[in-house]
Amino acid sequence: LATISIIAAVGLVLTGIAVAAYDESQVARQRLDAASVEAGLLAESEAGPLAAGDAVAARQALAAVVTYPELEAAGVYRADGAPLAVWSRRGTRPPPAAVGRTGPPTGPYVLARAVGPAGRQLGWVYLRATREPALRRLTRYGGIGLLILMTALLVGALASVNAALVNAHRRLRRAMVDRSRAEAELRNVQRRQSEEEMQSMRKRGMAAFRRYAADMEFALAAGQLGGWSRDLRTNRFTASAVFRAHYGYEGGGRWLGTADFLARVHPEDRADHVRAVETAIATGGLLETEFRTLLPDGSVRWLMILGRAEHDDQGQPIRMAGVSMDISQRKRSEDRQRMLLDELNHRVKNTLASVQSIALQTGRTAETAEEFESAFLARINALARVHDLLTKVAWEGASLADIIAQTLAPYDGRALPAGRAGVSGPDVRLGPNAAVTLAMAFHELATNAAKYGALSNDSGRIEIGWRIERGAEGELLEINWSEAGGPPISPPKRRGFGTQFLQRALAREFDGRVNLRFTAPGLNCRMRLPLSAKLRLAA
Amino acid sequence: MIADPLSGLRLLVVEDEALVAMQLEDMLGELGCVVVDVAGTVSRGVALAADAEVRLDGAILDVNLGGEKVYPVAERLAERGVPFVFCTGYGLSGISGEFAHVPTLAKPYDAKELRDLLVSGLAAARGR
Repeated sequence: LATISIIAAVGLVLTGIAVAAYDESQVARQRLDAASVEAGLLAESEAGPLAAGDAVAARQALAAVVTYPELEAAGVYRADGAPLAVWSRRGTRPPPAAVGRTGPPTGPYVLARAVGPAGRQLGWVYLRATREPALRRLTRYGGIGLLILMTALLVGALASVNAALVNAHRRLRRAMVDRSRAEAELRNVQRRQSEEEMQSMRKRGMAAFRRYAADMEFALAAGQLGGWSRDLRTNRFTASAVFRAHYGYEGGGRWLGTADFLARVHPEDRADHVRAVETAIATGGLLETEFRTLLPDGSVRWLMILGRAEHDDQGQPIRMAGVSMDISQRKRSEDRQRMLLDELNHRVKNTLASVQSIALQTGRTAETAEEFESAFLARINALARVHDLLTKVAWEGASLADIIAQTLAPYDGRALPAGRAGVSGPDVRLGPNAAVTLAMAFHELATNAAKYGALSNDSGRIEIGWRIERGAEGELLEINWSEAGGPPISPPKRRGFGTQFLQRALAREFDGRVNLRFTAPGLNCRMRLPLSAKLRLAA
Repeated sequence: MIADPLSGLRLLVVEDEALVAMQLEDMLGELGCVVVDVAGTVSRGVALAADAEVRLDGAILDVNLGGEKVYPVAERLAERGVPFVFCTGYGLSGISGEFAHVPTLAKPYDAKELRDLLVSGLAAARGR
């Protein structure tokens, strides 16, 4: 743009110069036009003198011309070029000293004209007009120059303003471009940032979820829990490996649905199980069912299912999930617990019944309160001791030798002197009930011996021996209780508790026979008891 | 004088605890009953219950005989139409389904409880 303005300014200056030159030539022509009239007059007037070569006449003619103020020099020349008369104003250049064949030179402010009629050259007239005065020319050129200068300045100023505007515009556009670029960049950065943030959030979320899932898996595995979930809209069922194993579906294999698992629920428990699940879905409550599974190999397993249904905003059930647990072990121990409690209850009740029986029977035969008390307490004591013995072996059965030793050892509060009793026989283990009954029987025999028999003096002796006989009706346990060395005895006048217990109760309980004889050396009691499962635990 | 409904009843006792059997025998004697026999094992109980020669008006059965259940004896008696009652240390829940309706006496019991049970469980059956 500056270039254009410079070109414009230069153009203007050139135009100005052209205008000035034109103006200058116009001025010159006007002066020459004015001078040419004089020249014509001079030429006409010079024809004669020239033809005659009259220099005086020529000078006179020139003198007339010089009155014209526009001329500064004039000359008259002959046809051969020699001057006839010349004139010039003082201080100006004189006309040419001679002219050539073609006459004097011409130019602006200079006029040369041939003199003579046509076809006959008599000579030449030379006139030179005055130039315009310098001051006027200066004024004239100055005005134009000033105008041109002003115009050029204006153009320059406009151009400069325009250039400034253009520049400003360009800067503005650049700024706008820069700004839109910056904005785009900012948007890019923001987008990248938010994308990065989203990605990092996703990553964090995924990491947290994976940790949670791993924790869940560990917890389930540690608790031997199976995990399951069921989409209630599509009925799609998802089960963990442990859950599948609970239902006897080991390993991988095909996808399994609700029906596959339901098929393995024990037929007797199936309806209850289904009802529990439906109720939990309908009410949104906790599902807690215990049921048996019946596996293809015929084995039964107890499972517990815990779960809860999820509902949407409209209250429609959408999903149900939970855990499964193998509670077979718990059920077994519950059963065992119940059995043990039943057994304990049975034993306690039987023991109480025995105590009741002892009390009644003792009361029936005792003659005084003191006699009742000592006999009753001794019998309860015997009962308690054999219970102790059985408890030591966890009610698994006691050996016959132990029972006899226990009956005799703490007998009547006194230690039995060495050599007063001989005990011999093979190892026989008795069941708990048999142990109690035989312990009571030996207690009665020992009590009787202490009161009336071999242990009532200092010299008596008891031999207790047993053996196993193998007869036609199976094995038989024969126990012999023989007393000797005691005071003379006689059969009792009435059948006391001990006698009745030995002869009636003991014999009946074991389907055996008990012989009680009061012989001369002392009491002899022979028990022949079939070795049934009841009597013997293990031979 | 009103005739005692239990008087002269011929009863079988199946009880494995010697002491308890003795007491039961005495109680029944005092009630005027005749104890035909006391069986201490299931096999002996079954033999007695199945023996048509042995005339029985009723039976008192201990449920648990040294780990064995007395039900085989109960089945024989039921086949013969002989009424019976149970006595048990297990409590009433210990009786299996088939005999759940049978009158049952929980150990330990006294003479009055025994008498009431016999009147309702056995004597009534004889009256039919």
